[in-house]
Amino acid sequence: MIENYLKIAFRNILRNKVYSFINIVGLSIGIASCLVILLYVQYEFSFDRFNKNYSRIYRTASEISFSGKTIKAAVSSDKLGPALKDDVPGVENYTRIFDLGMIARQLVKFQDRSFYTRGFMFVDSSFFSVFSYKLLEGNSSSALSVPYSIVITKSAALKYFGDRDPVGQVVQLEQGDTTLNFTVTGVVADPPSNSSLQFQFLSSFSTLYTNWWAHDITIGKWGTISYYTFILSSHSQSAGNLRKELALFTEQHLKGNPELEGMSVSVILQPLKDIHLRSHLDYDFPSNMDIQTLYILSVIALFLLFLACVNFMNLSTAKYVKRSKEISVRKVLGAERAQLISQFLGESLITSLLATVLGLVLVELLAPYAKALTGVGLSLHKLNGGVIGIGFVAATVVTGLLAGIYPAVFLSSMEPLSLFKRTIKSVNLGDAVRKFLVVFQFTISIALIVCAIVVANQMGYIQNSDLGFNKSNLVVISLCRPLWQADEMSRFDAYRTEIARNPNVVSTTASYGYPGGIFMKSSFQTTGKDSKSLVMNWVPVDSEYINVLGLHMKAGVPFSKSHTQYGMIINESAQRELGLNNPVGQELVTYNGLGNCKIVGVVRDFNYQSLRNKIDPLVIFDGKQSQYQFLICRIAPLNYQATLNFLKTRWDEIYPGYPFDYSFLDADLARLYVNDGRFGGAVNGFAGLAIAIACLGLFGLASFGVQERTKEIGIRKVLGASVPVIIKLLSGEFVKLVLVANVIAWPLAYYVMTRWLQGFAYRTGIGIWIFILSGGIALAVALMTVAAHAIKAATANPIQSLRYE
Amino acid sequence: MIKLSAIEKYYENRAIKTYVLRNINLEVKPGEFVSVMGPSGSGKTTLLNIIGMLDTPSNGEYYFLDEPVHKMSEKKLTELHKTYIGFVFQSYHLIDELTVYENLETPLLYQKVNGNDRKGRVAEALDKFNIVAKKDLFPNQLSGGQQQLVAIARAVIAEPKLILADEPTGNLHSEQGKEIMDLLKELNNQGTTIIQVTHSETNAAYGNRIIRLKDGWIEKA
Repeated sequence: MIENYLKIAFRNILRNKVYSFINIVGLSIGIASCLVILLYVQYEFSFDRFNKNYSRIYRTASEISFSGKTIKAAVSSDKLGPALKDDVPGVENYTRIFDLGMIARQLVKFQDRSFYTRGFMFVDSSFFSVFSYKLLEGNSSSALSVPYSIVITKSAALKYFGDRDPVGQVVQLEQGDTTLNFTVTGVVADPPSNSSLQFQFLSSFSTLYTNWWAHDITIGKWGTISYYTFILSSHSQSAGNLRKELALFTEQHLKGNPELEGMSVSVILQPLKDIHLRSHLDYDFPSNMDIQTLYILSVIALFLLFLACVNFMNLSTAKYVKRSKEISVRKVLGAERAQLISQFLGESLITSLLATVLGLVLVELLAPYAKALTGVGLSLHKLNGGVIGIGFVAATVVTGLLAGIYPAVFLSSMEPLSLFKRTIKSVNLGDAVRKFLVVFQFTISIALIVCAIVVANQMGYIQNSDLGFNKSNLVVISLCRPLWQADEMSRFDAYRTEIARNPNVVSTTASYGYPGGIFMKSSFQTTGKDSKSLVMNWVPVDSEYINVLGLHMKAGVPFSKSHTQYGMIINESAQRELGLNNPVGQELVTYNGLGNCKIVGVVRDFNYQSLRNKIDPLVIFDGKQSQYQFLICRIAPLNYQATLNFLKTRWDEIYPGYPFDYSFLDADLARLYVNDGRFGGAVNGFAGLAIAIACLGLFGLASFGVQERTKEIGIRKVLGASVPVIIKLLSGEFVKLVLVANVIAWPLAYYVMTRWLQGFAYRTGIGIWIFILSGGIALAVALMTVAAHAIKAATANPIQSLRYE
Repeated sequence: MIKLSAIEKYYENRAIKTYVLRNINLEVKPGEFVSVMGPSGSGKTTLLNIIGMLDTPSNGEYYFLDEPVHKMSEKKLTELHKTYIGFVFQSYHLIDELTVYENLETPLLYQKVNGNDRKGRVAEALDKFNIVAKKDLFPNQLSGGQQQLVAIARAVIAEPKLILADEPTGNLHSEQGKEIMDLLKELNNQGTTIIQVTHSETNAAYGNRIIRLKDGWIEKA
């Protein structure tokens, strides 16, 4: 029996190739997109769970109140961990973490190799017993017990030492003009990507108590709240109990403690498993995200699957109508209802099985795209076999049953005679539901197309808008050595002179910051009677800055080389906000250690920050050379690579052992919009998906509608209706539905996109053409979908359609 | 074998009853070969469908092998018709997606005949109707006569007591029609009860009794 069913199922799939293809592909797209999203969600939920003890690990954060304000910070005092272990029952162990990379990137050197890293942390030697990061070499209990010992990751070891044995080697960390030596005592496996802690170097926490760090008061007091503290609770201790104990601890040790200098601090307990998705404290891990996002994504995923199933159902139902004769014959031959139901369910299960297989293939094909969107490498083989197996069976069975149950039950209940007569009128979800589905799916599609166009428009606007300076052909080189020593200054001058000889290096300027980068903030005050004070961004530069960037002066002159005073050029916003009518020649009181300085010019406003922000007041300072961090070179727009090679070769000669770290300024600017780009990509993806699903749905409904009206079409043709008239008749209804969808989608998309654009101080408008274009696209796609059926029906010989009457 | 008493069939549309069959009283004994004749719309096919349990009468009583069909559940009806009744249609109604072999096999599947038995009986039927060479072909690869031959083979494969044939030769030319009629006669001679609907006096003559319908009434002989 089953053999017979299988045979007929496969024959049907093969016989209606286009039909089956569309049906299977449609369902597999639904399954694949659902799976990709769920994989991503699952990945986010998996954060930090690779730790064997994850259910017993907590972070102790701080709630700090001072002068009427309360903040919650992810960090605590370095004294907390040891005190908790001593005084609180159920605290089995602790490890403290200080993330130096959070302050700035760090330069780590070994002989002639040097790289910047953001993963430089100081941790207690208990780090490896609390967490499950795998130590590949070295002794986990002693590796980090002595100051200036360091454990490095496998990939870092390879980068620095190549084939050499890392253990026992000495690496150097540059801190300003001091160099610290660390002895490698172990190698740790790279932290998995779903680890909140992303490190390359783990140094002993005790290092922080040596003179280098502790000569400040930044450690060893209850009031210095700068260190992550993780505790490992004993098996018997519950989170609730632990909270009570911590409240008691706060009461006993922290309340009124003079070391807190008037702050009131209490300890917050955060389970490790909640940190990635549910913690939004100050100084929290940068990889944290909001669980709401994941809930929304999950709903979208299930929704996509549901829509794909509904479409599958519609398509299948339409197809079954064609098979009414077979059903009748089977009934006449003695088929019981249950047998027919199981036959049709079996068929839809086979189809969904094929769709699931194809869906899994699609997931793997979509993985690179998903990675570009999420920054996460999602792949099925990251799941274990059991999960895949269960997911696979579940996806197949759920979609198969969901899609097959309706036609199966409905058709099997028909009287055999009525099936012979092909008078199935109501084998459908009902007219209203059907129309609702079309309108709904197209509303979503049109809205998403509008969003996609608006986002693309805005990104284009960002790309092409005049920022007020010339952003192309600018290479920014990081100066790794501080310039406050005379020999470093002369080394820098030597490099600069050297590269200026190359005709392809058009001009150079040194500065603390550049557009797209970081600026300092300080307070400035006008002199005179109505003195006004304002906090403004400021940046020390050399005299060439204005020319090299291509800024335009509004008043005054650019800095001159001979100028040795600390002259200032302010931008128009600064002039406006300071309320200066005639700023050139006036002085401002500065609080950056330079005293009163003279304004020598006003520069036209230029976008030195993201276009999301208005142009803030800016003060450009001539001088303060020790603060320079970058050398900005304008290079000739040809033969980039040769010029870059030249810059690097000279660098390696003059700065042996220091990385030649450069970027293009326009690339750095573009990086400000990485998230917007991802958002745009996601919108594009969803828009494509939505229109695909909507069209599949429409395809099913159209074929169904045409089949229902076969007789009517036949009669109309016999009475003399032309082909175009019939196509119009058949398409008209769907066109109406798509138009209704437009009416709903437009205001929806307008609202959402207006809000999104409000995030940009500089933005494009949403022209009416975008709506018309989106509606047009949807309508065109819908028409093409329907037309296939309509033309076929309209050109068919009416004798065929009337034969059975 | 079959006893119909005061069978009526009508369709109701906005309180207007359209009668198809009126006051049908009919008895068919085992081994009979009955021909039902009458002009288009006289209710022949409806009568056949009611006898075949594919349709239910509006009024009246129907006894099949002395059991009251009009009181039976759907399950019992299915059971009864699949064990005792075989159908032959004017337009053959083979399953297009199945081969000749599989078409023959289908009724046996529904009667849960086990595998070996099934093979044997299908082989026997193929042999008996001389269609062994055609067993792997699909219906659209056969001529009309061949298709009807398969349809009859399928109708008798489950060894029904009663064969209902609705204009079995209606779509065939006379040569093929004659073969089919000979075949039905042969089956009747072997003891199968046959009721056929036909327009043709020649075909009707194969039977041993003729019932004439007009406007839903049985005409007095």
